[in-house]
Amino acid sequence: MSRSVILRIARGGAFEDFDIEVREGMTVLDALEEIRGKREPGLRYRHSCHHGSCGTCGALIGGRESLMCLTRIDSLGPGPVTIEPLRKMVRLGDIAVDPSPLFAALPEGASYLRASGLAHGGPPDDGPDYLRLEACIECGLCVSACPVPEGRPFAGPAALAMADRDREERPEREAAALGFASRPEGVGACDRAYACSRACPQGVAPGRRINNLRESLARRASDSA
Amino acid sequence: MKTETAILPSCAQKQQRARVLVIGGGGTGAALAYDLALRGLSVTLVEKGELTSGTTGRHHGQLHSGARYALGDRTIARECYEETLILRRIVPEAIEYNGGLFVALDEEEAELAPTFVEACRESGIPAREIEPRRACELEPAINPAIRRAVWVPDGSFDAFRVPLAFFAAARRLGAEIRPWVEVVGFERSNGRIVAAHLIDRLSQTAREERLEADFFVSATGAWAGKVGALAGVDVPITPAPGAMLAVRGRLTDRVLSRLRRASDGDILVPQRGLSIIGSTERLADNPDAVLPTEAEAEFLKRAGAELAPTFAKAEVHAVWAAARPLAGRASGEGRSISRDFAVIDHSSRDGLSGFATVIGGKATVLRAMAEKSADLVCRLLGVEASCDTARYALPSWRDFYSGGGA
Repeated sequence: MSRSVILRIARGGAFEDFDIEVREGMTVLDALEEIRGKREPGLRYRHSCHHGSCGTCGALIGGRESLMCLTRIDSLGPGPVTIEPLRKMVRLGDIAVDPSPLFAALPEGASYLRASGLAHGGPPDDGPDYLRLEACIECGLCVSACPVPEGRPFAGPAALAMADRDREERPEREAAALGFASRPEGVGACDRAYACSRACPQGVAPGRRINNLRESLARRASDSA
Repeated sequence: MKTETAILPSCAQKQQRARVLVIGGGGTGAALAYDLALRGLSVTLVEKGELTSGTTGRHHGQLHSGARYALGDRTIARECYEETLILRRIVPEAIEYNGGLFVALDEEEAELAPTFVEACRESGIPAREIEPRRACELEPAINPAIRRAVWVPDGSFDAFRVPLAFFAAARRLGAEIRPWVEVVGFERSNGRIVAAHLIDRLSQTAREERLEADFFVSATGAWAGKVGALAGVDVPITPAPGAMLAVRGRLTDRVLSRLRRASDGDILVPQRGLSIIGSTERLADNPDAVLPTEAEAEFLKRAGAELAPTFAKAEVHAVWAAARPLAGRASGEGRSISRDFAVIDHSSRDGLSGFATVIGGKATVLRAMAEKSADLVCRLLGVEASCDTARYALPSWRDFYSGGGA
């Protein structure tokens, strides 16, 4: 059964309404693709993989940080559904942002590969170890959702979670990770609101990771006292 | 083949001054911009939307050892394997390299096993048959009814981050990468393209910009017909939308494939915490805004469960479609069109100088496509510079946004 919904898209300081025929399973990104393909070739939004792996299509949907490719329109209310660009990024136009603030904050040299963790009936005989890519897709939803005011220097939840993951996979990165976390813009700047963990589409739980780092720093301080 | 991997220098080499405009910000354009910049040319790349938003990023991510193509074309298969090994050296952080298994589910598929292994070997791919019981031990999610199994050196890669690493490398060498910029026309003078007319979608004025260059390459994949038409040439390209479906849960570490000639729904690719079944294939006139159909999604769910029965119970994460570019024009089934790529020199074919089109090809061989395209561009421009892209480790894709090394 199809219904129609109004998508209220942020464009140049105002909103523009688009009436959409919603089909079974249609995502917000599918709807924007149709609008751009048929009505508005100049509509700007970032997208690449369409399955929640690239991390480019984050937006505020109905005021909440979400990936447009994984948000089914039938999971939202009757509308109008507002779609706005992520906060704390550089706005390029319409929904598109430049994610440079997110990437500039990430710890340098953090690895993106980790042990797969899948149970097998024996070790691999065709490679050194089972590896997979990190869960974090560098989408910036956590950074956008974080209530720490923009004026306060803060590495942000994505960067700190990445540092904690990095040392977990590679013990030799422990000192670098703790050094990263102990800077003034590190864990000390976090207000423990846990908005990051609620916004993360990948279950990375940055809030918990920030706590891990905080506890390690406290332990290190008490050990050396 | 060189096996040592060097660090990419952080500044542009001596400029050859020849200016090249690469049109299309997918995998091929990314690798081509990098290749040309590494040869010292002055490169600008434009993409009408976000980088890799057309077809490239929607790839299921299988890093093809070439095994899938060995029965059909040993040259393509060999090239895939060589490129797999190169990508593992130059962009290791974006690749899950865990191998793959081709499994036979019926007698006909089982009978193909020796021919398949032989075809792989003849293509330089170290495939080997293993006991079905051993395959199920290695990957407990595999359908226990399999009759035979062949191990191959497949893997999966991040379809967004691999090309982005090429973009980061190109930019580090001075290439100008301009997403949100669309080519809307070309200027011809004396049988030569001399300038492109661009619209910058980020600019408020939407005024046309004129960009002169010594050479123009269309690396626009399924959009190559449209861009060719702007230049007044006919490019034989068929957009072939295919659907893919991801479920939550990493069912295997190895890529699973059906041991049969390439067809629909016969590849199950693990990636992060997902398992992705691909794909279907149909033909279309328009590559824009391709969406999956319900019938495609139903077919893919069944196909995934044939390879790994638990696929049927897993929660669907996403269903999407991508417009692949197939070289040639087909009247029937998409798979009858060549999967190989071609570089068209429009001066010899259409009497139009300064313009070439790269068509077809597969994500795994993006570097090789760029090498052949850049060879042609350099020959036509009279620039003597050879390809060096297999030699350097690429910078992190993160550098593209963080500006590292720029």
